[in-house]
Amino acid sequence: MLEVHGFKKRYGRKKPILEGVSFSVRPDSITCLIGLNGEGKSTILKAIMGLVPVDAGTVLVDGEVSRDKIAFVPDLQTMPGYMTIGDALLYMSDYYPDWNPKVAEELMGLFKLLTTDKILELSKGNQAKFSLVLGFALDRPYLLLDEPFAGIDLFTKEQIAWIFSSHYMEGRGILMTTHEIIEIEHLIDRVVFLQDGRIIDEHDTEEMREVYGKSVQDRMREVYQR
Amino acid sequence: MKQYLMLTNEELKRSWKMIVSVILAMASIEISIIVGRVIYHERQVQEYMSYAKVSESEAIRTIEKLSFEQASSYFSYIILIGIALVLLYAVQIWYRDWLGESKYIYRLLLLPGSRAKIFFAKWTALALVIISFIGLQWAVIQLSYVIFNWMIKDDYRTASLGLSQTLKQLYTMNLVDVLVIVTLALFIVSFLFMLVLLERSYRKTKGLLFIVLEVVAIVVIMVGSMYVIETLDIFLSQEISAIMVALFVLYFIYTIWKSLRLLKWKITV
Amino acid sequence: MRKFKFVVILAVVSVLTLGIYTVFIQSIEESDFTVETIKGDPKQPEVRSVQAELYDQGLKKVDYTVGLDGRVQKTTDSLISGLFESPFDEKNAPDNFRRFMRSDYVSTLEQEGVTYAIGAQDNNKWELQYWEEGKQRVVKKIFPAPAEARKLGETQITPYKKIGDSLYVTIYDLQTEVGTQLYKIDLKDDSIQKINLSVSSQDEISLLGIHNEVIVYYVMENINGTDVSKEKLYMSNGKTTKRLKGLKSFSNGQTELSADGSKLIVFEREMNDFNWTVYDIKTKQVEKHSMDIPLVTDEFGLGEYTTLKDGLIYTANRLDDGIYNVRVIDPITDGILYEGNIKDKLKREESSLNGLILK
Repeated sequence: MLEVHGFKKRYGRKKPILEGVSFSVRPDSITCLIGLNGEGKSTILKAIMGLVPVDAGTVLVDGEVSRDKIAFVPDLQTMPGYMTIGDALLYMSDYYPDWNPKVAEELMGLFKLLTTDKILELSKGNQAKFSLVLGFALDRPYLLLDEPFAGIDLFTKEQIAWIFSSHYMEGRGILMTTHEIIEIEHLIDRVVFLQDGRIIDEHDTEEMREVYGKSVQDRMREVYQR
Repeated sequence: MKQYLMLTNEELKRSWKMIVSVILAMASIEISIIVGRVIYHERQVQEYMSYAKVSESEAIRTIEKLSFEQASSYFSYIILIGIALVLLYAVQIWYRDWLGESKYIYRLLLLPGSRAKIFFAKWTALALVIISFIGLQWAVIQLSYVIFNWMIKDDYRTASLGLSQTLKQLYTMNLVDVLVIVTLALFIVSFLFMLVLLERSYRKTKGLLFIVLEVVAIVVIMVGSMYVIETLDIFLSQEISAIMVALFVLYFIYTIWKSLRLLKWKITV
Repeated sequence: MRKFKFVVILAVVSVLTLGIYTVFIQSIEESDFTVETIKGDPKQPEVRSVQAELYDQGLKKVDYTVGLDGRVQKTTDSLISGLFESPFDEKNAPDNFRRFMRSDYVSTLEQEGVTYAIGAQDNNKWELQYWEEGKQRVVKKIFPAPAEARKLGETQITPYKKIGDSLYVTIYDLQTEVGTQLYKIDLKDDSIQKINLSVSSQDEISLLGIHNEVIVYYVMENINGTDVSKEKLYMSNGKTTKRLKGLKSFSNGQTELSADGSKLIVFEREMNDFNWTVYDIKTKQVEKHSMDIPLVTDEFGLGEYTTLKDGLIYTANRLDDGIYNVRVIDPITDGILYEGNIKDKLKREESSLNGLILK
């Protein structure tokens, strides 16, 4: 289990962006962090990965304080501008002992990406797909995705969405943030609603549908249009 | 260790074109200076000969022979520019990871293992660049001297390889002094690194405030320690030197320790 | 290799280019000095401890100390050695003595292998320490300040000379900078005696020599109401003072009492004019002397060093081809006690004369 305990963060004297956020991500499940723009969803993911410091709070992965079991797919490019896809794959295999080149090759084929392509010259959709390759080809039990569907076309969205129901998901716990609920609602196992720096609601989606007869979108409207 | 070296390589790879361009530009300018000075000197002698209607030796006596020291006197300006570029590089090597279309800083901070290797990779890249620059500058001086001797007429030049006062400060003909100079340079680099990391951790007003505080702190330490030593008036000169060296070493360690701490706990993308 | 290519390239460039630098450093010539005696014996007592200090103005900073017996000491400076070198006047003395020596209120005198340091931190006592390098020991003495000295404000004590068992010191008021007093400290019985010189408290005294308790000195007397001061030469035995007339100029050059105390030697040099005046204290006769000393200055106009010590003139002069001529002259007889040439086998022009060290 990936556990977040008591995340607090404030920028200067402004209103705190996170006020004691705690939740968990189960293995073999997809958890979606939902909130309006600027609620701090991205900040939470970055804080889990130590990319942004928090004023308080801890992260435990299977009981340990270690980030080596989490892979992160941010919503922007992170490889140096001059690199081709091939360079980037070599980079990953050089630095990550848990890099799986076989998975990388398979996904590259599925997504129809070429090693000779310069990363920054790729379309937004291909960049997004490539970022996923970098995340999924790491043999790590937890994967964080920050807006994996942002600003890409429908066809690419479907390709990406497919991966979440594929065998590449086996044994992984996913935490993602997204606004594109419709495309993947059927895949999500748990939703966590964030508002004003706090978790105001969280549910297993199956329970929400069967017990309360609500879809994620319905619940979203209830929460944010109050 | 291997990852640290690979990261150092990556830093150098990203700057390679810039490094080679600067080296070639500096070398070309310096050699052009020598060529230009020799030609100018020869022209001066010839012009004086026709103007004053004197023999070549008379003209040389008046204009005076050209020494390599004089011909290379502008090298110190080029070296100053080189130093400024290295300092700029010390700042750019960090900021480029945040700016631009891709944010490499994410990739660096997400790498497995200690973040200290990020710091030391950039530090080592600077160290290698500084040492290479010092060595290459000497090679250019030697090459310029060969070109100087080849171009200039025997009667027009003074014999020996002399260097200007500024160049003599850098090239003291003692290899240990090169080590001292490189250490001082790396101290400045570490200090700059710390300031950059302070800004990148705290940003805006708070970041600027911490930078100002650190600069004030180092000034206070330097001036304060000299004041205390003067006032107490009990130390022998070697003891004063030892105290200053110890303070230098301690502060050097502090800049590195502080930078590593910021990278580990405070840095923000 | 792909992973470290650029690191390796820069490392190799660094090593190669610094290697070229190292080879160059090794190839720099250093002067090879020898001493050719032309006249006199370099082992005689007046000459034996004389050393010429030469330094290299070329690319490599090397200091040479050449003894007239031919022994050469080379020292190369570096940034680090510069930091941790003791100032030359601290002379391997023990730390406590060095600490005392460098205090603001302490002045020093080095004479015949002994360094005397004396000062008055407050007006009530005088502290004297001296380091005997030969015996490797420090002697410490504290004296109650003499009554007359206590009347002054903050005092600066300056040791002048040790003669026999006595150390002569002058003191003056730091605030007013005038009113010099002369004292004789007997190091055997630890007594201090004031030597009375007939001067007013406003006058500035300069000692020229002491022999058999007779002090020769001059005073810069201010002519009342003007900025002009006149120098007056005196002789005193502590009881009576006599004005010495007949000698016109003695404060510009180097002036010393001869070894037997009967004559004053005034040496002034104007480049190639090597002149001195001998003034007989008894007869008041003035004799002008000169000697032909060849001198070829270097590009900075340097190349000579002359000093008076114990009634002898020691002079070193640069000639062409990296040769330095050293002479020890008896100014009274014009006799050359010693003459030698310091030669650089390599005839390098970059060496330069710093001076002569007389111990």
